[in-house]
Amino acid sequence: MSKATSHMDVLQGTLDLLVLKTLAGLGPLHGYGIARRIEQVSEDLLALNQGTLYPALLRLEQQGWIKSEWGVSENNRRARFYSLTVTGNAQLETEISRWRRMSAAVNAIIADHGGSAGQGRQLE
Amino acid sequence: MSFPRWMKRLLDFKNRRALRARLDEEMAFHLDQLIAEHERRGMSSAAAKLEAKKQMGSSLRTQESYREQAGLPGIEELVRDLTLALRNLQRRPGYAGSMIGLLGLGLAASLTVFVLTDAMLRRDLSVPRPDELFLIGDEEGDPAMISRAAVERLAANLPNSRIAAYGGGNAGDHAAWQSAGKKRERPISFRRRAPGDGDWADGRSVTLSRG
Repeated sequence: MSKATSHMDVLQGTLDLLVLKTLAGLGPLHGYGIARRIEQVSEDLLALNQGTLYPALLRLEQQGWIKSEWGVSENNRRARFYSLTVTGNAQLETEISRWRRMSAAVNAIIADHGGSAGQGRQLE
Repeated sequence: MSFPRWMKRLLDFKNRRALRARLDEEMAFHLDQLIAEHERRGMSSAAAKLEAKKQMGSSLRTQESYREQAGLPGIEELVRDLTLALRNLQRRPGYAGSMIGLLGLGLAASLTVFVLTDAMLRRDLSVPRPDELFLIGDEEGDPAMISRAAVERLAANLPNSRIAAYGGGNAGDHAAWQSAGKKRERPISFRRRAPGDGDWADGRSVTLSRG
């Protein structure tokens, strides 16, 4: 499988978590930096769609979880830098907890080999 | 949507042009960064631009999505519809006038029917505070067998109340009680009379009123 086809879109509902976690770990970042960081940490498995990133950043800002201000990038370009707020930090904990519960539930269903097969036979 | 978030969206709606300019600048920066990165990896300038644009996807879709997030789509749509309606009215004044006239006639007819119906069918009952009639029933709120003596005792215990009407029938004695916020005497219960309870003075009910 080629590298390009191995990219996966970010799961619906997890973008907030990924952005908040990235900002919590690295501090203020511009949109490009956030996207690149998520791709790097996921070893290029997750591909962030810019069409969803910037509206999501604005939404998070409207919710008060992040704030933004103009700054200067590493190559002396004007860029909008996003950083986590105190409310955003608390929200990050909520999002992490929600994700852990969700992934545990999905894992439990995947690991359950016997129940569903038996039920299927009964219905036949 | 919480109030602070709604206020923020309202503020963003006011500053939507500045926000769109901000998005354009952010996307231009993002694109330039991608191009530079591809060039660092050895791509030619043209190939780097092509690859970066491919990665960025449709900028129109991003702008549309951002515009929806930055604004208040419902209000914007309403303003657009109103503008379109006003333009159409200006373009065909004769047609618009006849439509407005018809609408006015329809409203007037509806109002007339309502006023007549209200005057003939929804007139007030002939007791003070007719909206405070209460049906006396059992603990479940259903009509109960209540003697006139019991009703009179209840009336005596509630100051400023009197029997306005009383009747008994085969279905049992019902009572309608008019008095607000009075203490309930078990096992009799009170509930506000509903339209489905029938006529308050149909000969099978008791009505008490103040005064």
